[in-house]
Formats: sequence, structure tokens, C-alpha cells
Amino acid sequence: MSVQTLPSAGLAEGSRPVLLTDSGHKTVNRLTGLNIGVGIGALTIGLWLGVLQGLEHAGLNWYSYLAPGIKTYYQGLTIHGVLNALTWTTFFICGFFTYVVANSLKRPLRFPWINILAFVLMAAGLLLAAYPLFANLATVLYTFYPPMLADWTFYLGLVLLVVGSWVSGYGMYFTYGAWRKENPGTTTPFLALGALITMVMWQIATLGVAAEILFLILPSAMANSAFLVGLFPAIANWNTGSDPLLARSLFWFFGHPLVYFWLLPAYLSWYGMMPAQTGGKMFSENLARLVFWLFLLLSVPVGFHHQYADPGIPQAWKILHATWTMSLAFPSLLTAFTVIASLELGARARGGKGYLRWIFRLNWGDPSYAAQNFAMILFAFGGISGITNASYNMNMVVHNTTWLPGHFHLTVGSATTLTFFGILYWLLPKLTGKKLFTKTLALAQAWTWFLGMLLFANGYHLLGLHHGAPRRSMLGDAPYRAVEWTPYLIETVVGVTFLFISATLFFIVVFGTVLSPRSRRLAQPVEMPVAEPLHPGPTPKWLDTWTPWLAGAIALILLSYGPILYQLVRDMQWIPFAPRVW
Amino acid sequence: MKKEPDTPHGTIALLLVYALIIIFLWSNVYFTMLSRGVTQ
Repeated sequence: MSVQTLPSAGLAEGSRPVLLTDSGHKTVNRLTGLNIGVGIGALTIGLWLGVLQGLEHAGLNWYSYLAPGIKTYYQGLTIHGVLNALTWTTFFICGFFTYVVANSLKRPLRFPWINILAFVLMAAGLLLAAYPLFANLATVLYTFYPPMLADWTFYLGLVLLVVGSWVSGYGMYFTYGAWRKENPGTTTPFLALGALITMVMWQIATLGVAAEILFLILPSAMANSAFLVGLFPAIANWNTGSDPLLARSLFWFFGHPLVYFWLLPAYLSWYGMMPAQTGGKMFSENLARLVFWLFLLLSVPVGFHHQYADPGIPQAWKILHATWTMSLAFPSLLTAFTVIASLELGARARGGKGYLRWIFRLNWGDPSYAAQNFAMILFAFGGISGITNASYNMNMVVHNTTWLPGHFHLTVGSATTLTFFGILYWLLPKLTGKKLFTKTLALAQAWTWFLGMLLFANGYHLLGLHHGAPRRSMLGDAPYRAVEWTPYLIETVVGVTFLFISATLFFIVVFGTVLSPRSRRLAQPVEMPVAEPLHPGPTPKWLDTWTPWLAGAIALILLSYGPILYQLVRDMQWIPFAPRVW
Repeated sequence: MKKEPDTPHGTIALLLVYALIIIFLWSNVYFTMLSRGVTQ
């Protein structure tokens, strides 16, 4: 990779800034495109299977048409969860952040081979996990709780995917480290800082799931493989079973911060990019920085709010985690205020008036902007149902009901995914150098997703709340299915129909843009939207310093997980894995 | 009192509405819980 260096006049030895040249851009763009391309590929399959689930709940079981490819509802559900929630998001985020870090620091990747290695590891992991998923050897849903046991290749594939995302983070840290040396005393640009904080939080959070897979599942999965035992007979002794409670606890050590791994890239765009797309400025960059540090501090020690119904976790620990969970509402509400204020600035600059009429002056005609704004609105409702889920005793009203998928389709399915679609509507033209295939269809995509998700999520929330309909169940075939469920199921099917149309439009826009002829080349290259701060000024040092925040995050995790994990390990009860029932 | 030019009045109005919606929807589930006799 060729890089251009500045003359060293006035700079200390070894601190010459390295600029992002055409060659550096090309490497970054290629890596971004590869990651996002694989992510979209996974989403293509995952979304269609989601449509089939919605139809099944309404009594239209179309899985038989997919046999022998997809054999059951539960296989489809597992593939939907793994491809959408784990694969699409992780690939998109690693690609998007690679782009953001390099372009925000205006520096080429320090060691591009690390980011290439990361992509190779992640892609290999996906391929390895895809085999058992499609061969119906890993129908364990995306949470893969023991005592269910999938084929060993599923777990190894997930390990590679996660390790690859760590390596992607290392590539960013090395780039940041080099930039730091070259720019002593300069405040880290907000976009780069937000991306780096998210990746560090992810590294910490994924330690839980890594420990779960490596110590509690993978050895037994390998021992269950006739192929592996034939090769290495000694591993047959590894089939020792697992402790489901410890495994679930380690999973949720990772599982809830996973939600913030999905959300923080969206926040980054809402804070640092969206205002620029509607003529606004960042209302307060310092508040935005504070929010990201607070998420580093608070994202991990909250996992037990997913385990309120688990009898093996003492109440005091659940209450502690419930408290941290509620405290996460603080940075989220700060985000609501700061982001909306930034957008209001833009709307008023475009002639907006009144207390609420300014909303109509936002840049609704731009699909990139509109998709992200719709994502924010849906997230506002997802936030409310999230506060409800996380309320200790009220959780029992909705626990394991369709309320939950209703909730997380407003978060990962809307706040995250619809924001990522919006980002793609400027990033794709940037990466391909071609105009967006059609703005009208992209706008229609944003509207249909918004309407579809409103109906779908509302139906699921109410069905769970009022009738306790269970989640993760083949409701269309359930003997306990009540006639009172029908209006809600009809509402969800109408929502799913909108979402199906929206997904189709999305793929038309994406593939239309990528495959369009050279004649659709842009006259002017697209630039990454970057919102300027309303009041540019020096950033307090404590908002650009890693040590206290990292130390605080580790201390909170040790405080909130240390003693109880010690207790769970000490009292571990190994039980055999269950035979496959799918 | 003279208004600051950058005061986000619209945002404050919108967030007040949002706070009311939160209270309404949260309370709805809370009263559903009570109606099921959870505290008995």
C-alpha cells in the first residue's frame, strides 16, 4: 500500500501524519464492501425465512414447499436468528466501522492485512456454521442453550465469526494507535471514537460467549461427532455434558451487550452523520461522547435481566442487574434529546417553525435520511417495551411471550437494520461510484418497513401481553391457539406483508445499484456525511481518555458478575446433553 | 425573558409527549399485572 507523508517540519520525530490517499481509500472501500456484501447475502436468506415464520403463525405453513432444504419451522427460525441477528449485523458493523475509523481519522489502515485476516476468519466461520444450519444439524435457535446440542461445526463457526470480529477491532486499534502517535494532543474525532468504544465493549462482552462455547459446549459437541472421534479417539472422553444455568449466564453476559453492539453503530450515525443530512449540526458533541463512554461502562453488567425467571440466580443479583439496566435508560434518553435537538436545528435552518411543525421540514425526501428517522421513531417504542421487559416483576407478565420478538424487532429489526439500510443508501453510491438505483423505491422501502414493523410489532406485543402467546413456538399448529388471537395474528401478517415488500425493494435497490452500468457513474463522488458541532470548542480531556472508563467498566463487571459467577462455577452441576429432537 | 436562539423548544415538546407515552404504556402493563393478582 502506498501512502503519502507530510514533511516533518514543526512535528516531533516519528509523529508525521500519514494521509489517506487513493490507494488507502481503495483498500478501505474494498474491505468495507466485502464485509457489507457478505452481510447483505446473509440478510437475503434470513429475511425471507422471517416472512415464512410470520405466515406460519397465521396458519399458513409454507415450509413444506422448502423441503428438503428447510425441513421445519424451528430450523427456519434458527437460520433467521443466526443470519439476521448475528451475521448480518456483525459483518455490516465490521465493514462500516473499518470505513468510519479510516475516514474519520483520515488515515489509512495501519496494518490492512489484519483487517483482511479478520474478514477471512469471519467468512470461514460463516461457511462453517452455515453447513449444519442448512443440513438441519444445528436447530438450536440463535441462543443455542444447553442441553440442546448442535453439530460441532456450528459452534466452531460461531467462534471463528467472533474471533474474526475481534481481529477486525485489532485492525482499528492499531490504526488508532498510529494516528494517536502522529497527532499528539489532538482530540479523537467523534466518529472514530464512537466506533472504537463500540468495538472495545464488544471485545469485553464476547468473552462470555467465548467461555460458554469453549468450556461448556464445544468439547461435548466434538465428542459427539463420529467423524472427529474416528480421527482422534481420545476426544470421546470429552462428552461430559454441561451446566445449563452457567451456560445461560455466560450467554447473557454477552447477549445484552450484543444489543448495544447492534445499536451503537446506529447511534453513531444518528449523532454524527444524520444531522448533516438534514442541514443540522451536532447539538452537543460532548454529550455524544459521554453517552458512548456510559455505554462502555454499563452495557455488560446487565445480563441477568434476561434471567429473571431462572431459579438458580439469587434475587439480589437480579435486582443489581435490573438497576444497571434501568440506568442505561439515562444515556438512551440523553441520545433522544441530543439527536432530536440536532435534527431540529437542521429543520429550523430549512425554514421549520413552531413546536412540532418543524418536523415536516426534515429531509424526508432523502431515503438515507428518511430510513434512519423512521428507525429512530420505531426505536422510541422499542425503548418503552424494553423498559417494561426490564422491570423486575412486570417482566413476569410478558416473559417468553410474543412480546419479546415484538420488542426486539423494534430494536435490532428496526433501529439497527433500518438505520443500516439508510446508511447503505449513501455508502453504496460511495463504494460503487454509481448513483443509487432508484431513490423512489428506496424511499418506498423505508416507508413500507416503517409501516410493516409498526403493525407486526404492535400485534406481537399485544398478543403476548393480553394472551400470553408463547414466543419461539409454531403457533399456527398449536392446539392451545385461541380464537381471540386472530385479530393480532392478522395484524402481524399484514405487517409481514409490508415487510416482505420492503425487503424486496431493498434488494432491488442494492443489487440494482451494484449491477447498474457504468453510465450511471456519479459525476461527483459521495462524501461521508459528518455533522459539525454546533459549538466547536475544546473537548474535556476526560471525554477523550480511555483509562478511567475502561477501569470503571471492568470494576462494574467484577462487582456485578464476579461473586455470582464464582458461585455458579463452584456449584456447577453437569447434566448430559439432550438427544436431538428435531 | 429573552429566548436563547439555540434552545431546542421543539425537542423539549416532543420529549414531553414521549414521557407521557412512556408513562401511559408502562402503566398499562403494570395494571395488567395487578389485574392478574400477582401481588396476592
